[in-house]
Amino acid sequence: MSYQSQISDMSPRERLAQRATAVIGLLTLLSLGFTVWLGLFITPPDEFMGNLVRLVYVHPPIAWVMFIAYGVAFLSTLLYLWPRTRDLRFDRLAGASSEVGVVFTGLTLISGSIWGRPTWGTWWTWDPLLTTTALLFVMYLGYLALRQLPGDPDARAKRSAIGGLIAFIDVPIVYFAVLWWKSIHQAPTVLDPLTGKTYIHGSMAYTLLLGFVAFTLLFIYLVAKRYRLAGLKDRYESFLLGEAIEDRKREAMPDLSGVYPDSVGNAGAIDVPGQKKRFSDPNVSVGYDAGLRPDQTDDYQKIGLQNNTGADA
Amino acid sequence: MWRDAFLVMQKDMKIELKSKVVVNQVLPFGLVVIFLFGLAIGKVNTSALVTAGSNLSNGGALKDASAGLFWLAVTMSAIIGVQRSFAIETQDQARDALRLSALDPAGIFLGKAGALLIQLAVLELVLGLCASFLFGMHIVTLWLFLLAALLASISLCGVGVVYGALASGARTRETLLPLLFFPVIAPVLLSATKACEAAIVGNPASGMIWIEILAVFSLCYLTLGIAAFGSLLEE
Amino acid sequence: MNPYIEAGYISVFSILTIYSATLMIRIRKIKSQIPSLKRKKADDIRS
Repeated sequence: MSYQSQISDMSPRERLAQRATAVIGLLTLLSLGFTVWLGLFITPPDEFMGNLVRLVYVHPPIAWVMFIAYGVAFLSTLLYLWPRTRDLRFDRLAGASSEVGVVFTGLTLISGSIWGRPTWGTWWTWDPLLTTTALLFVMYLGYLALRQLPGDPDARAKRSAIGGLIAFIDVPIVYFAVLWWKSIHQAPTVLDPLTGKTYIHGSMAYTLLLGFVAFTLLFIYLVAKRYRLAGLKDRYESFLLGEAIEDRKREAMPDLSGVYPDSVGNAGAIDVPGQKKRFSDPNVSVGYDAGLRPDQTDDYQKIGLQNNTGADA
Repeated sequence: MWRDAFLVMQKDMKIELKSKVVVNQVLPFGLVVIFLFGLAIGKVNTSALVTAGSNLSNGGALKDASAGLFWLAVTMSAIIGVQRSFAIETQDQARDALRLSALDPAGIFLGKAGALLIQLAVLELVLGLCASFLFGMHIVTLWLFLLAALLASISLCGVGVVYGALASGARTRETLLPLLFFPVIAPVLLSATKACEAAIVGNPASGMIWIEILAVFSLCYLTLGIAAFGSLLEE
Repeated sequence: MNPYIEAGYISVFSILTIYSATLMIRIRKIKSQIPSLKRKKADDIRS
């Protein structure tokens, strides 16, 4: 191990990951900025929806990221549960991806609602996709709360994995239940305001594509950062645990700091041949100097640790 | 597995029969909830006070929503039932004893779910009678209603026991149960309501698809519970 | 520009900015608590 890695808290692989994340962050910023600029100013307003179409550069990409976030979380959960690939890092990835997924679900609901108000005249409608998304939001909030419960990392990971599995399996059931519920009463709502068009062309098409790319990069960046945070948290916890263990050890054993001579040059109570003593006071008792408890001093004197009766005194 | 399940179920039922917590606390809670639904939603037709033979407590909204309100009340009581089911394990380190007893974990899961099912069945009977009385809910196709109730209860118990094991123990955990439980059983609530509405109207054909959803749900979560309960019990 | 568009873009990007900022702050906070361990070990080695 090099001197550098002894001092710094990152292994070479970690530093590479850090740098890659920074690069992705930069790319994200650039592509998002470009998307917003194109979306808001360069692309033309739609013939039917007017300026409202500009939300298409934001809302579908965000919904797309929400899906891949939960997909990644589910795959990591499965990988963690499968005994051959059981690794706490998969659990960390599942947690990171779920948290980002929750954020993007919230954003999907918000942007969808804002888009829906002028388009359909209402902030909310109980159609299958919206209802399932709202339920997804609450379910994964519960999953995140489950992850916060204290406990040792393996137990926590297993618990969260089962919770995540339950939540994910429920999603298609919810979707079909709501689908049948709504289809009995009304025709399925046309969710995507753009389905009337057969194709989008020109600047709108490549802005939309850029939007998807930009938000996917953002997803990768956010998950990488959150994953790093989870790793740091685990390391911090084991650090605290180590400290607590050391404290318990120190409490259990007597303090022998004054008994033996130390590296700086102070004399202890024990006679080491050739050791220059800084002070010698035959009247000071071993137990008092060495910080031993009163009931321990007799033992030490019994086994021959005397003060200053060596030849050098 | 089935023998262990039966043992655990007997144990839970014996504890319940001795302590009578569900009967004394959870059942009245359910009744109060149904009553409060009536207060919150029901419109009192004041002219009915004068007209003879009209039903005081029935506004249109209340009668239409009666199946849904019934199932909401059942769900809320079920959560308390789940918490009770696991509260009896936290005393005297019964949970550790259960783990060390070499009972098959799947059996423990089924036993606890079974005991909870029996308690829920009693609850639903009483709450159903109360709802039909207070909300004017009159069932035409009884077998559909009972089938829906059975499948929905199985689902509730299955999910409840799994989440109950996750969320019991430390104090910070117990408040997690409603947050985890309610979103996951939302489709059960929806399907049970719709099936029961079909039963009330007397149209079994439209109710069958909801029965199918309920069946799929209970199958999924019973299987999950049987597979996963062992590791949940371990911590 | 349509007020809904403004509301949409502003809300989405402000929430994303806040979330990223929260992440970075949390990372920095924990990092400030851990390296003390590594430096302590290094000190022990040197002495």
